[in-house]
Amino acid sequence: MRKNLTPWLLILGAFTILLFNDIIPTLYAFYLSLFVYNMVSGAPPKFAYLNNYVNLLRDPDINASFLRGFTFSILTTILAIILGLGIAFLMAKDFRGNRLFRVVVCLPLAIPYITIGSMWKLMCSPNIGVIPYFLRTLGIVYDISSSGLQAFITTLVIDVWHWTPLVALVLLAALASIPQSILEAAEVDGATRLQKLKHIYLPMMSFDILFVILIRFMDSLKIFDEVWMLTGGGPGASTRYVSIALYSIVLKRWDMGYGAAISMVFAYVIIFLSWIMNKTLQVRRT
Amino acid sequence: MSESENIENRKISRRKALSTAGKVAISAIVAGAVAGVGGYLAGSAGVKKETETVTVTNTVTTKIPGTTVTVTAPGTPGATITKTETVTTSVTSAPPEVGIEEWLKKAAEPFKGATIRIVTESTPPSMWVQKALVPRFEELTGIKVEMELLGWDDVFKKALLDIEGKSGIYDLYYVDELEVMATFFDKDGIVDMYDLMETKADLVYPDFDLADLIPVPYFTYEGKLAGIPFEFFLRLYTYRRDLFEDPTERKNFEGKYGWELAPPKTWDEYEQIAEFFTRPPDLYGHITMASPGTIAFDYWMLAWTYGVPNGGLTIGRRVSTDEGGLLDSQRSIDFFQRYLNLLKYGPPGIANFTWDELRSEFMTGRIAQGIVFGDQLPDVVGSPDSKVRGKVDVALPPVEPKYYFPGLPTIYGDMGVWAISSTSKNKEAALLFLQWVACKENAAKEMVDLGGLCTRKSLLFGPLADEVDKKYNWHYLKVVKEAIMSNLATGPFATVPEILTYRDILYTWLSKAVTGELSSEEALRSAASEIDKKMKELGF
Repeated sequence: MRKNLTPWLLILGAFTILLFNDIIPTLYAFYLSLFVYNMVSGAPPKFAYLNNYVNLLRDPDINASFLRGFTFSILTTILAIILGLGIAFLMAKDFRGNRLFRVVVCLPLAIPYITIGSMWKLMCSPNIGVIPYFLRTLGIVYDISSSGLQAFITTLVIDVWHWTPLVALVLLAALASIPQSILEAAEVDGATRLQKLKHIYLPMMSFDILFVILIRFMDSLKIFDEVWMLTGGGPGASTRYVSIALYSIVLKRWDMGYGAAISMVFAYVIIFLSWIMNKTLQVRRT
Repeated sequence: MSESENIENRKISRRKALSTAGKVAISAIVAGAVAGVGGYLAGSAGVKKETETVTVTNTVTTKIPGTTVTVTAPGTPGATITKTETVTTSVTSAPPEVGIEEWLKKAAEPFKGATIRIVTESTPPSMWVQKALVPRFEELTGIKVEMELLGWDDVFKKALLDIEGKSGIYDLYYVDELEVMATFFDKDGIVDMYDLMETKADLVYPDFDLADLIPVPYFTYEGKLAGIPFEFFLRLYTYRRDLFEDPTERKNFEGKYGWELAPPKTWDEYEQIAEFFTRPPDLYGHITMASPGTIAFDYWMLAWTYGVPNGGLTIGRRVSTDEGGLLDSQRSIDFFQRYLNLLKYGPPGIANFTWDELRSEFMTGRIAQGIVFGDQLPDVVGSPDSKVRGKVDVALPPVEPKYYFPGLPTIYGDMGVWAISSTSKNKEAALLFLQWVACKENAAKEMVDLGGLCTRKSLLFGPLADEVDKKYNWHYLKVVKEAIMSNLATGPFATVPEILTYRDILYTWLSKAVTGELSSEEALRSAASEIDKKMKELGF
């Protein structure tokens, strides 16, 4: 009997944490999502079946936020992978100042989200910002408070700038794991750089590339702090990504039931993507 | 001796005084929705697209200490205005036998060692209290005061969650909007100050004079008082007096527009001044807070000047004209179109400006005019960092004559109280602290130090007000007096808890018009439709 209990006792601690941190809040969020419940309103919570989910499907603001988020994530992931790969190759090279280069490249990873938001807010300020100043000399009017496209592109640049070093580090590790003998054999066979990239590097790094693609995609889908600091989701709704719309609905509108429904769907999307990632990585591994 | 003087000088018991003060405030509220909630909210607005009728029953406001003037401005423009002179009392009990410090020392003895925790917005008055009043209070009473100064959103979140969870972390919450007060009272989260001051009469300073505090009637909800006010200011038309008085500018302006340069009475005049002074990159003719997070505040605060009270919202929680509201009415569309037109006279980045930029941009000397919050003006006129020290003055904001009608308030009245949490274990100590902050002596200090932030009628209408105006070389308190006497101050939003939801939906649509994604009409119609839908969903 005692023998049977031991494994359960061993996972009891982890399970308790999981129970209070994940399971109960998730169940509660689901429960809440079945109600029309506004926390500031005098109106009592009303059971609404799955109405919040139906409303969500019909809500142009939320649908646009999801679409905007996916567009943002796809673009930011592609850019980060391309740049990260290039930087990883540079880091792998033996040149004077390589150590300093690595430190400088990785600096954005050490900066807190809020600081990044503030930094970029200052840099983008139409009056004192360095970015509008230089773009003005090129004849470009840059004002993220009135141009939705410029604001969207700026958030894209910030995310790529912030997270490309992580991609580069992961890919650098992948590069280092390629056996030197294979590269030397390719050299002997007279393979060009492009051929080596196509036939050796990319195939041998594909597992790691896939890993960072999925990690970056899911992560960028959840972007909040930097964008909130920089644009607050504006101008208009041009940078109103899902997390920002969710924050607004829950903590400004205090629409808890609807917010919970969006959270559930958003969480489901993330879980679904994680599942794809897990499956794909398993396939690659085998 | 007149009747009013008789009443003023009459000695009444503290309990009776409080009760009278309560009744005065309640009757003031009931009489007309406190210049903010308004009779419009009282369900009297019936608006159709063809013939718009706006009814505002606008009340309160003490002209001079000791008298209340009730102004009723019913219905359509040009309607008769009924004025009801109601003599009430500025509650005054016996002249103080002991000073506040001496009294406080004795009253606080049983509470020595207690700690009061306050969550409050980092407004100039809050910061001033922390610096100027808390140390002395702690010294006098042995009661410790811990103030958490945060941004508005965080203050509200912390207070609401404290109330919901009944956790009792804070003893005092900052309340500066009427819908927040309504939410907190509806959730039994804060105590009724009238009740507390009556049951703890021995802890009420004899010369405190609650009725003398200007914001008291505004913060009375269903006969209950939310807290003790410590800040009050108006959002006034603010302009560069040096530019307006410059002979060359005056000559050029008159030559171009055919009228003498002066603070504008109408929005057309405002726009002409904005156009005239827009000379980028050194000078701009307009400033406002058009950021996505603040544009809905701007709409609410300024649309009054176009005859759209309370953001077009009815007491039945409707905003569309089809449902009796005004949000998508012609006057509202015209207002918002004007708002959008004016943005081109603002400095770069105006579409991302919040209230912080109202102050900082004015201080750079690049702004000729704008409608600015009173608590920001002391920095503009007094800070060594300001390039326009002594060059700024204020006036009443412009109105749109086509829609505006007499009796309708036009100036956003910003005010704040600290409310005692229902779960506080230090209610008595908190009550003493609140009286220390708002007592006449410290209110006078606040007024002098903060350039005219005046919470007491006796100070506003007393000789000190002129001295303070003179010190800052402007007419802020003179204009505040004029606004109060003319009944022009609105309340800080209205006692409808769902305003927070209304505001968040509104800003998502208004900011789409700022970028040109939608027209002003499309934005307001979409907002009205979504807000009405949401309110119906909530059961209203």
